[in-house]
Amino acid sequence: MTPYNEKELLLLISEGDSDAFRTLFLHYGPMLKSYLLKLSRSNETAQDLVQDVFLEIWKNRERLRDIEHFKSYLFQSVHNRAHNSFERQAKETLILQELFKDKSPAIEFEAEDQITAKEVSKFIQKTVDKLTPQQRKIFLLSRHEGLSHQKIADQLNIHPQTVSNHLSDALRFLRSEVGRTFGAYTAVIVILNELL
Amino acid sequence: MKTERISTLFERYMDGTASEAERYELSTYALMEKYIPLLKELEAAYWEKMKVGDQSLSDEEATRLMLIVERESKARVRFLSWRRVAVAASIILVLGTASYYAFFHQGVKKESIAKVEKKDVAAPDQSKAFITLENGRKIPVDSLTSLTQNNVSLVKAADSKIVYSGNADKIVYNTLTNPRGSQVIDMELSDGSHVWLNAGSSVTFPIAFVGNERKVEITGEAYFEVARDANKSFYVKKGDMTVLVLGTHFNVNAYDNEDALNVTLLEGSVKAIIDKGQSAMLKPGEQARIEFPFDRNANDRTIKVTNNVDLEQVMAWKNGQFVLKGTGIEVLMRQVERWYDVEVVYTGKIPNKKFGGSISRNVNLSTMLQALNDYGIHCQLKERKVIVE
Repeated sequence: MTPYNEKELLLLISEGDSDAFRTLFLHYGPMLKSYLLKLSRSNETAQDLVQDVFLEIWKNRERLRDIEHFKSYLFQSVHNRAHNSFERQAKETLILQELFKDKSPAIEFEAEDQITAKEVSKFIQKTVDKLTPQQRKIFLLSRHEGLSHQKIADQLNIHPQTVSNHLSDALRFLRSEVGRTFGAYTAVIVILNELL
Repeated sequence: MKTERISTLFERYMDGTASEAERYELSTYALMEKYIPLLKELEAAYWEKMKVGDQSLSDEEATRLMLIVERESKARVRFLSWRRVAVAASIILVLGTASYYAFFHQGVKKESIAKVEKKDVAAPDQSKAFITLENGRKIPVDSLTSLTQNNVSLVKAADSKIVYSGNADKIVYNTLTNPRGSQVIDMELSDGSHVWLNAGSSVTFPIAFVGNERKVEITGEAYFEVARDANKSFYVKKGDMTVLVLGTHFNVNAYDNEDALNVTLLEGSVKAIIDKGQSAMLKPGEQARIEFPFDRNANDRTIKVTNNVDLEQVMAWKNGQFVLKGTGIEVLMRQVERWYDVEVVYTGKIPNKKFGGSISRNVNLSTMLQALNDYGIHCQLKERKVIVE
């Protein structure tokens, strides 16, 4: 097995060598996936992002000729989407917390953050309150317990299609509510989309 | 300090050791605009710390990406829309050589309908060509963008034409190979000469010409339009047969499984030479024919020059046609084998019929076989084998 020579590999890829590209992917892909998994807590998000980023890198392979450190270049290409996925899971955590417990954990935020924290909490509460009881129940079963649509349908004694409908209604609602309020982050406000 | 607190929370979150309360706290900070820059810094720092090697990806994920990559990098050769022309209009296939007349499925016997398996073989719609560099590396033309060797640049132009340009002070060879079942590929050499390669062919050439000779070698079939250069003679070699070119357009048909090597001149002037043997000058419209096998002594082999050449037939491949004039079934089938990348097998005596006419190359194989069946040649397509009975 030949030693891994990154500079040469990048040059080959910039010239169109797809075998070299595969080697690069096998080298960095796993690390990126692991990172995205930790950050987003979603296998699907991690997988999709890894594919998207590497495909983009392939499409712009001519740029690789001038790259010195691929690890940094890789991060540059993915860091915005990676951060968005982290934000997404943060919102989800808060919503689930709100749904699952009657009260959110008592956290002592420092003075400057108290108000903002209270705002965040209030907002999450309001959003969750707007869900219908059925939507809320199904949402919890899906997100908190990780049940499939079929299993939820069995448990609640309804048709799986009904489960899907309730779930998509809930998500659509949460998406628009959260998006409206946290205007600063509306660039990519897609909350919990992988459920659908 | 808040920064420290958030750093700690983030670290635990990423490592998977954060408690539910800690996750909740971190999530709340994540939604506060003022902490976004900090979080992004933490994300970057964590990435820095990560090391290659202790993780793994499923084979399935790797394969999936490579498939998408391959699909993305194919520059499809533009297809003429007459590929879909109906059978009757695209095939004019007749018996005999005395007269030409078109048949349109008149009096077709029921049992002669070709039995075509579900898997038909379509005409190639792109070139599968690849270039082999001097160090042995193979680059598919599909994924080629541009490449420099010794100050000589190689680019793929928008219409999939390969162009070499530049000067060098030493000879470096590349080989362009066009496999069977592939569309014709078009290349421009660094002196401006043009080469078109048929399926099942290759050409080995210097990426830039040095000295007072331009020498290339071929296998299979190629059509050349050589740029004039009084100081540099152009030679095309196959085995011990060389064509010396004096600025011209000519076709070389040198497939090993044909009976002879043919050089046909369209324009200009060439001299066909057998090493240590005969040579013959050609004028436009003439064809030099050197019979195989090559293992016979050079002195025994002769070059036959004829001027009774049907140029349309010789150049049919480059024009997307099969042109037959008194052509036997075996010759036709060999062309079919190379174009569709299939194998033709004869189970009985080989029919003695001769054909005349022309067929578009861009039809499905089943369509062509259907026509042959209509004229009494019983043939079947099974996967990638054509069986002639």
